Amino acid sequence: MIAALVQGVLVGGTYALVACGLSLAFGVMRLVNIAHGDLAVCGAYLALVVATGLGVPVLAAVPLILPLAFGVGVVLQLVLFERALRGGVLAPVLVTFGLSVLIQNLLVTGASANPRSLDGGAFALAGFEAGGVAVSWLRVAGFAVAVVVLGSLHLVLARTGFGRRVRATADDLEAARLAGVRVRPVFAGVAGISVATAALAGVFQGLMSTFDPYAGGLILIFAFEAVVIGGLGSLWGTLGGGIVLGVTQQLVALWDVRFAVLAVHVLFFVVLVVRPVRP
Amino acid sequence: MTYHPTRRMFLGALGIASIAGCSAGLRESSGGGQTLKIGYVSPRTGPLAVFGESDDYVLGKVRTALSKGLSIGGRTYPVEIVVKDTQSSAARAAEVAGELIQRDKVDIVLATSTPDTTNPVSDQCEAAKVPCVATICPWEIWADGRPAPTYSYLHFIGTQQEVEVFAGLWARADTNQVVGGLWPNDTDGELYRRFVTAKTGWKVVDSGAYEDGTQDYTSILAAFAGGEAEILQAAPIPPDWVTFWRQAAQNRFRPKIVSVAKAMLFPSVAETLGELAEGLVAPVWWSSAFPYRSSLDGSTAREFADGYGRQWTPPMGFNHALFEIAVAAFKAAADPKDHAAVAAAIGTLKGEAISGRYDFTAGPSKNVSLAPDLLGQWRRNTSGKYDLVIVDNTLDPTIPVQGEFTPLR
Repeated sequence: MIAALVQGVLVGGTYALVACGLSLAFGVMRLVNIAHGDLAVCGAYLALVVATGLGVPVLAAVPLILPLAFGVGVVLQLVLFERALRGGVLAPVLVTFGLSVLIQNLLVTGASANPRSLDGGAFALAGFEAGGVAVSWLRVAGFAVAVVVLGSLHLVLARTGFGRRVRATADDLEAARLAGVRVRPVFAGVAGISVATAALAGVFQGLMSTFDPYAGGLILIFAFEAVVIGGLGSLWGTLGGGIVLGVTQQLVALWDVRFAVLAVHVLFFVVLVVRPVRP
Repeated sequence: MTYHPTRRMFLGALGIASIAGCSAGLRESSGGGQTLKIGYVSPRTGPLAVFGESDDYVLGKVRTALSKGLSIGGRTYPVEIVVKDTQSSAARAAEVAGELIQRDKVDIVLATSTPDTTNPVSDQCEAAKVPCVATICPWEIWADGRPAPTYSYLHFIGTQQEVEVFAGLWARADTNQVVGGLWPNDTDGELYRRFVTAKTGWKVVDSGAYEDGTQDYTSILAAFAGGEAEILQAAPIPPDWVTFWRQAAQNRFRPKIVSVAKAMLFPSVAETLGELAEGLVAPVWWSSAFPYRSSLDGSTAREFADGYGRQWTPPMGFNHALFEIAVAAFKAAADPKDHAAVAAAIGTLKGEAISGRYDFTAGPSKNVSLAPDLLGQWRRNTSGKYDLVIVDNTLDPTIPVQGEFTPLR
């Protein structure tokens, strides 16, 4: 029981890490990014290419990948999302759906459909025991990174000028514009952060299990559920949502693993029925 | 105007997006009067693409061997092969089989790789009365729950047979005879659960029917460790196996024997696992070490595998064998353009292909030819790659053993 709770919280951290970029993009730009999971998978492939290309450990490749992913996010925003967002509620969804299909097929062509994985060395396979609960260091690291990422995002949004502009834009786009906020760079920055966190989440996914060009769909579903359960656009809510998903999955697995994943989807459904609108 | 997004809006938009599917263009081809047309259905894209990875090479070899056409009963028939991709979807497999039958008017349909391809394609062929040969699907899954087949045939191994072979290996090592079963909630998982649980002399600790795609196995690992399982029998999909086996290492679960069906067939998975792949046991239904030759061009299994240029995969041999069986059926039928005659002719076939012997006259079920199942152990070779080394040949002693089985601890 305690083991299940501990594992559930740790698993929830990794769900939250994927979900926070999605939550941010939706909260600020009203951008439902269907390609978010595929961008995470791209991050994992990028880590694989950089790590094997330079012959360095995966963790050393991460500082190189994040700025790159940020740049990709900025470019996607300026070239693609910006135009799509002007086309109403539906256009961004369709555009990012197209992007998702495009990414999947490019990855299949470029990297084949074989499942790949990132080699985290001895650290990724190590674990320790605390109070009779076997815990993996990698899981702990994943959870810690999720908390650090969410915490720093929170600080950036609450304390910096950029954060103030982001919040103003999120609250009321037109009013922010009238007050002199230059919306384009704000949006570009948010998209960059969103894609960078997705790439980071992809790296953890690659270290923990496998990824293939089609893995993005499943990643996206869990991220969406974490975002929706935690409340749309709320960062700490996303962490809460992720943890609720993880703990639900673990507790139900104690009873019968058959229903572990199903229970998560049922919970999501129940939340939608009981509390469909954000208060 | 400002609006507050609601979850309903968000999900509504999501729902509409999911409707926006896409469909691939259809290929037209003209029907020649006396050309023998072979339709070939396999998953070349999607999650099962690793099965169809070698298709281009296999088809190239077959096309070269059949480029002069087939000479049957004093006439020479040119041969045309029409290839269709299932995109790893059962619905799409049924659809392309229908296209092959209706539009391309093929004389025989060949279907390969997983029940999602073999079963819908066989059903289509039965309905349209077109001969069909399928492979790479345990015969129990192919034969169970379908009416007795007339036009469709299957040449492959069976799950019960595989469980027997695994149990033979388990008995060779000194263990407490407790088997941890990692069996997912899919057809393969259910079959292993049924056959392993039914075997006497082994105590089973069942994982429960977890969903494919599960990311966390700590509760299952705790159950295995609690039940002191010294043998692990698993039938997961490849990505799940990598996740599970890594978490097993993190949680220090290391049984003496680890036998993995389905997931450990491909060298790419062994490469992904790296050192963790060492010593894992997997079924071998085809390997480059098989002492058999292609009945089309006489090349040995070794030559066939080496010509690929990449590390060989087990589906290569059986996919090639499908074409050998089709050619044998055309030759055995009085008129190769007569669908009923060709279908009946397959049922009389007994012969040897690059995959080994096939015999449609004496299978465990109607229209089934049972292939022998061997066991291999993954070992690192001198170049740092992982090879599946044959360690058990009980079911076909003509195939040489390449090494001794060694337990993990």
